Amino acid sequence: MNVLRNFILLVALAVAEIFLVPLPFVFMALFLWVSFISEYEGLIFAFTAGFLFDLFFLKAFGTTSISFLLILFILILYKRKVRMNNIVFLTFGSFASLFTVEYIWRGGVSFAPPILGTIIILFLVRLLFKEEVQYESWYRLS
Amino acid sequence: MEQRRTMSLFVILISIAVAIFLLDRTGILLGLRASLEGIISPVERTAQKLVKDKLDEQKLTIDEKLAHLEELQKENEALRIQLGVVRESNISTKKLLLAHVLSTSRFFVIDKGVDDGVVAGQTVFFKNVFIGKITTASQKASRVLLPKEFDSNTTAKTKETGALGLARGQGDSMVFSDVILSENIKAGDNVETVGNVDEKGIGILPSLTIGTIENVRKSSNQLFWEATLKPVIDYQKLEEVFVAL
Repeated sequence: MNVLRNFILLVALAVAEIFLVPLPFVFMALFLWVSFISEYEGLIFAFTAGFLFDLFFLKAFGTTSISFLLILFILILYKRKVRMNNIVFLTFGSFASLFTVEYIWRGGVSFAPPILGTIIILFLVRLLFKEEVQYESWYRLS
Repeated sequence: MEQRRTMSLFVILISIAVAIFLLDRTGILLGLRASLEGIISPVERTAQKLVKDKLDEQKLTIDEKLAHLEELQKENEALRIQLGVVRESNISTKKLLLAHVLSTSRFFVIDKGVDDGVVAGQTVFFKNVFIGKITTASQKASRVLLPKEFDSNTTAKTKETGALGLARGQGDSMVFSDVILSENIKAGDNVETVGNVDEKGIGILPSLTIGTIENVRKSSNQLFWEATLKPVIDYQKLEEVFVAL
């Protein structure tokens, strides 16, 4: 049931991204999924969302799935090296991955969507996972 | 254990994605794509309409018949305006195809594809404004590269002085660059396409407005003029466009 609910949420975010606001909502959700909920589910949703985007945006099938999966895999490796519940690592991780996604999608350097996306991610983390994130210990990097 | 499970899943998913990508490149999945597009195209159009329509009182009480009539009237109006423009320009030699806009948020997608005669490289415009060129055409839909997108480079000139340059996309904005210093350009000048059509008639049509010059400066190497271009149309608000076949 939870998986179905999550899938519906993902489709809703994809619709918002395709028709409403040019922000990487789906990747932001995938980032939070992989970072705080489940790496396993995150990867499956990344694969599915990629195909949805390829279909809507007339890209070669598999292109977006490959880029989403690769970026999330690097994020998983990063997550194992650092503490993602630290605000500094979280900010850097979200900005770097959103920037990479935007670069691959748009074919050029664009700062506004990754910055906005990072702010939204930080806000959502604060809202949804506040017990897991150490906002007050941002200066303790070790 | 969890790490190994994630790693295995990643390897499986990336292998499937690569295999599907390779199959798609060979054209084997064209039929599947066409069928899926046949399903999602009406959904896309309805969703786009829902997003763009303002939910005023009139629209809330309107019945299906009236909505259809309104759509036809809109199309008629677009065609009438376009006909006026066509009479005054060199577009008249082209066959025009009216297309509905399916998506504008991330990429500009229209509801006409190879089945309707659309191929990559054709010009998309509305009234006398250059909207972009077709980059990808599938059976039932096509993607348009807008002049503001990163990959867009269009040979252009000013309407007033004929100064030649390049209209280049910068993601969310445009610049008119590579204009030699002996040319005269100023803020307020209109920039239009020069035109570059091949022997099959495919390419960018001439004399379509791209934007208006906002401010002029020298390029970083001091060899050319460069100017910020302001679009004359809001691409996000477009509902219908024309493809020059």
